[in-house]
Amino acid sequence: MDAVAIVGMGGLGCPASLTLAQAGVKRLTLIDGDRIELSNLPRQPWYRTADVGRTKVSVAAERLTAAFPGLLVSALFEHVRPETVDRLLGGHRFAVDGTDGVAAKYLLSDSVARTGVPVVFGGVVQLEARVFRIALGGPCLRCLFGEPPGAEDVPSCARAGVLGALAGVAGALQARLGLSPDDPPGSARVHVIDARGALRARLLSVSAVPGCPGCGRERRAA
Amino acid sequence: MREDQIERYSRTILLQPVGGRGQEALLGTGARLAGGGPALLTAAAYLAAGGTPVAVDGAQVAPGELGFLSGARGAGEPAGPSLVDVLQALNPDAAAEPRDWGCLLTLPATRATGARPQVTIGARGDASLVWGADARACAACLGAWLGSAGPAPAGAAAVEAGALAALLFQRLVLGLGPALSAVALDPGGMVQELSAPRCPHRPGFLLPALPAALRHLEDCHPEEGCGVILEGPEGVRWVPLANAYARWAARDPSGFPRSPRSAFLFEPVDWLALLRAADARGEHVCCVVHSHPDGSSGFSAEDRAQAAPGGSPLLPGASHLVVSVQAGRAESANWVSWDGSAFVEAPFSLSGRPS
Amino acid sequence: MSRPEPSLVLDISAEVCPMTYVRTKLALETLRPGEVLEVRLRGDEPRRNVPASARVEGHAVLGLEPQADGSDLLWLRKDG
Repeated sequence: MDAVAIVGMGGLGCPASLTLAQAGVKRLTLIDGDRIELSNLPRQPWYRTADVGRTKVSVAAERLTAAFPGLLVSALFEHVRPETVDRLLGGHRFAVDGTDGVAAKYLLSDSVARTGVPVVFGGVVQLEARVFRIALGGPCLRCLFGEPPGAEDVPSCARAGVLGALAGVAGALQARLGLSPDDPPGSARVHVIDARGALRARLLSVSAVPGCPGCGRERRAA
Repeated sequence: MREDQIERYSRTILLQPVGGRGQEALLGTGARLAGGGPALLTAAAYLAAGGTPVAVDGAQVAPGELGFLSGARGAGEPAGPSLVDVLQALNPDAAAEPRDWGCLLTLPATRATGARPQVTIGARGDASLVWGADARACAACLGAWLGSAGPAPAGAAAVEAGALAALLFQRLVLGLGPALSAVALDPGGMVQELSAPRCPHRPGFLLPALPAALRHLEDCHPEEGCGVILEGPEGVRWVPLANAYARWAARDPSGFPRSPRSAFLFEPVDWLALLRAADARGEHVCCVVHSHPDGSSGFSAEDRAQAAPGGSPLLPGASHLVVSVQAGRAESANWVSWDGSAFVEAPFSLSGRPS
Repeated sequence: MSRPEPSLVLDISAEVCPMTYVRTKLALETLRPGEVLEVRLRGDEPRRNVPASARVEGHAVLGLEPQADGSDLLWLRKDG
C-alpha cells in the first residue's frame, strides 16, 4: 500500500508530488479538475508556458514519470466531491490536501474518520502557511477552526496573493509530514510559517476536541 | 510590465509587500547558480517561475536531479533541450538580462563570491540549512557561518530546502528580512529560523570604547601604545596594556631587534590576567588596538605575523585597529578583520571624535 | 455627492476578480499619496472586492456610485 494521493495539483500539490517522488514513493494518485492558466505558473513549477490550457493532472503525470522512470502515476481529471472522496482516498497510505477551497478542505478533513486514511492539511494565504496532519482520532479542521466559514466570508482579491516559493516549502513539508508522522494520537503539531516580516516558523500543539463532529468517535460510521 | 507578465504575476503582485514595484524588482535581479543537486534545481525552478532571471553556467546537472526542470539534458548527454531551454520554456523572463546579479549556491562551493543577494544551501548535522545575505551583510560573518557547514541535502529534503532558498532570495530582492539570516529544516521538515551570531567584524560597535583608547595611544606617543577592547553583557570597554617590548628587547636584543617605537608586545603575565578577569565577567576580546607613532595606519607585515603566527590568527574572533599617531594626536586608523582565510583591511574614520 | 477630481481614470468593467484589483493596485502605484483614482467596474464581486482590498492596503474609499448602464464608479484616494 505504498501509494499516496495528492488532491489538488496546484501550488501545494506540485512540490508535494516532487518531494514524494524524491523520497522514493512508487505510486502517486493525482486528483485535480482544473486546466492550467498563465497565473498558475509562478507557483506551480511542473507547468510551462506552452502547457496553458492542458489539464494539470496530465501534464504533472507526464513530467513526473519523465523525471522518475520507476514511478507509477494515476491522473484523475476531477474535483473531489462528497460522493467520491472516500472511494478516491481509500487504499492510500495518506493524502496530501493541495486544494484551495474551504469546502474541499473540510471534505477531506471529514473523510479521515470514515476511511482511516490520514490527510495532511496545507493552507497558504498570502505570506502565511499552515500545515498539519489529520489522522484517526483527530484533531481535524473542525477542532482547529470550527465550522467552515460561510459565503460572506469569501476573502477579497487582495487575499488571493500567494508567493510560489512559500507554497513550495509548505507542499514539501506536507509530503514529509505524511511520510514521517510523529504526532501522538489525539494531538497534532501545526507548522506555521510566517513570511510577512522576518521569516518566522512556529509550532502549535493542538489536541482533538472531545465529541468533535468531524473526528469524534461518534462519526466513525462503517 | 507587458500584459502577459501582469497576468502571469498577478497573484504575486497582489501580495501587499510586493505589488508591481516588487515584481519589477524580482524581474530585475538575476540569480547566478553555482553547485548542483536537486535542491539547487528546485530553487532555480521557483525563481525562474517567479520572474527571476537565472544563469546556469556554474551549475552541474546530473540526471535524476532535475525535478521540475525534467527534460533538460544532463552533462555529457548529446541530445535534448539544455537547462537554459527548459527554464525559458517555464518562463521566458528567466532568460532576460537583469540589471543586477545575485547568486544561489550549494555547498560545497567556492565560498568567496561578492554577488548579493547570496543564498546558500547546505547542512549542519542532519538539518538542512539555507543562508541568505544581502549587500549589508558582513562578509566575514557569512564566511564564518558557512565555514563549518556540510553539503546541500539530496532526496526528500532537497525540495523543501530549494523552495526555501528561492523564498529567501526573493525576500532579499524585495528588501524583506534581515541582512544576514539562516533557516534550518530538521529531519521532520520542521522550519526554524536561526539568528545570526553577533557580528564581531564591523567596527561600529567599537565606538563607545574609542575615546579612552585613543587618549591612551596619544599618551604613549612616541612609543607604540596598545590594549584591547573587551565586549561583554554590559557593552564594550577599553583596557590598556603596557607595551612590554622594551623589557623584552633589554633581555634579548637579537630576538627583539626593534624598539617600542615600532613594535609592541603584551606582557604574557598581564595578558593572562586580563583574559581570566574578562572570562569571569563574561567578556571576550573583540578588538586588539595598537598605534604607529608617526607612521601609517596600515597593518604591517610584522603586525600580521604577530597576529597570526604561521598563518592562523591567535584570536580569530577578534579584529585589529591600527591607529596612526602623529605629533601626539591620533590622525587616522585602519580596521582589520579575519574573514576565515585572510585579513581584510579597511580605513576606519576617526572623524567626529570629541577632542 | 460631488464627484472627486481624479488624477487617473481606470476602466476595469471587463475584468473579473482578482485581475480587477491587480489593475487597480498597479494604477494606484503610479499616483502620489493623496491623488484620486477613478475606477469603472462591473459586477457584484468587483463591487465588493475592489473597495475592500483598497481599504486593506491603506487607501481611502471616497465613494461608490451606480451608473445608468449597470456599471459602478469608484473613487479611491491613495494612502488614505
